[in-house]
Amino acid sequence: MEHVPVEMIGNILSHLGSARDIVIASATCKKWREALHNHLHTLSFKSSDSPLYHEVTPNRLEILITKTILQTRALQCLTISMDDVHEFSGAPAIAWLILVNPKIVVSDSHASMELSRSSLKDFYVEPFGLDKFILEADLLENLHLKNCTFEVFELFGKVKVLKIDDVSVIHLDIGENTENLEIVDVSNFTIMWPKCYHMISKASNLHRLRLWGVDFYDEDEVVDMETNSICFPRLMNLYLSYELRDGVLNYGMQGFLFW
Amino acid sequence: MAKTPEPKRTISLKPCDGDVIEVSPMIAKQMQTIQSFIEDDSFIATTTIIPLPNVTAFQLSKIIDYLNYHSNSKAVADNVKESTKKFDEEFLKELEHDKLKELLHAANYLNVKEVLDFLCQAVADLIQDKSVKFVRKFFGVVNDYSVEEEEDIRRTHAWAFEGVEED
Repeated sequence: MEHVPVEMIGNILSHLGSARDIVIASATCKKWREALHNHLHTLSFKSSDSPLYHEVTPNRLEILITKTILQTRALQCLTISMDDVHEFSGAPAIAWLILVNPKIVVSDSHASMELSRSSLKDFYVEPFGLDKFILEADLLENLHLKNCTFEVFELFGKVKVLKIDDVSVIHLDIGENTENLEIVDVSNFTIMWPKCYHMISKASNLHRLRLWGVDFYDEDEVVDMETNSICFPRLMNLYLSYELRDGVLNYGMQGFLFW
Repeated sequence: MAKTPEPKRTISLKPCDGDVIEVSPMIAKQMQTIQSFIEDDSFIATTTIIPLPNVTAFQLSKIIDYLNYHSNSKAVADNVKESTKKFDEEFLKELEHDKLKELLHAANYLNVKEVLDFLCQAVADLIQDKSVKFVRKFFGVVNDYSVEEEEDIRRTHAWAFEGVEED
């Protein structure tokens, strides 16, 4: 196997997924190390992968994740899942993105983060907390936020899959580019209905919409669905479970359902 | 076998150690290396035989088997997933480690993404939770680090090496 192309090693490492296995395997020789640096496209840190993630302090955990990510230059899919690790925040760990990409602007390194990373395709983070998070990624296809807290979250890009689970966002802005949205999956979330409506109303390619355990919060604004009825010609799967605040929304949802 | 809208045209592939194997254009298309042959202007499907000096008949037929099975079972109901899983397991069971690695090379040479991803996953599964020594032995990799360099790596990434059983 001495003639294994380094790209293929990168592919094997990527299929390992777990950061720990990747670090061990990449220590075999210089070529494998190079594969980690230049050809690794998938990397994940999951608290279930290693008991060690529970043993170190959150601070040290953030450092080791950051250090590992910093060694990679071709990453497309990053998963950080530390849901049961107390006081962990993914924020410092993805600060590497800022370091490797000069396009990123940071106004306040702790509270605010602006991110543009062209090669990133999948983005999954849990938990994650920031005052302001601006993500700009042209190639981003999958965005999955779980157990996150933001005051402001803005996304510029053309995501296909948007999953939001147990996230608190006061200001959510997905921009105007929602025509590529194919799957929207929102659970345990308080939705500002007019905003949400505005956001997904242009998603003409939507084929799966799931709003589960959501709470509609309407800033006493009446949603007039008759003049703005939504049309999703490709919608195949619709799952809804929500609590109604008052009759206004009931009416709104009706308009929404009878497209 | 009623539905064959494809014109009666097969691609002839000649492995290094056996007779010519005919494949459908649909299968050939998935092999990037073959595809670039086909796209060449001088290629005439009826007469040209594509030589594959780096691929054995066994490897070629394994790859074709995989592609055939998976292209037939695509986009069908859930119960097919079970049988696909079974097929994949059987497929790997017949391969010893050496053959698996050689097949990986063949898939890489033919540049057939679906098989390549599948085999990379299979190899990754084998080296999961294993020590550096195991990975070296498995791939026949010669350690080209100096003692100091290797120690340095282990020290910087001490977190990853904790609790790994050396064998």
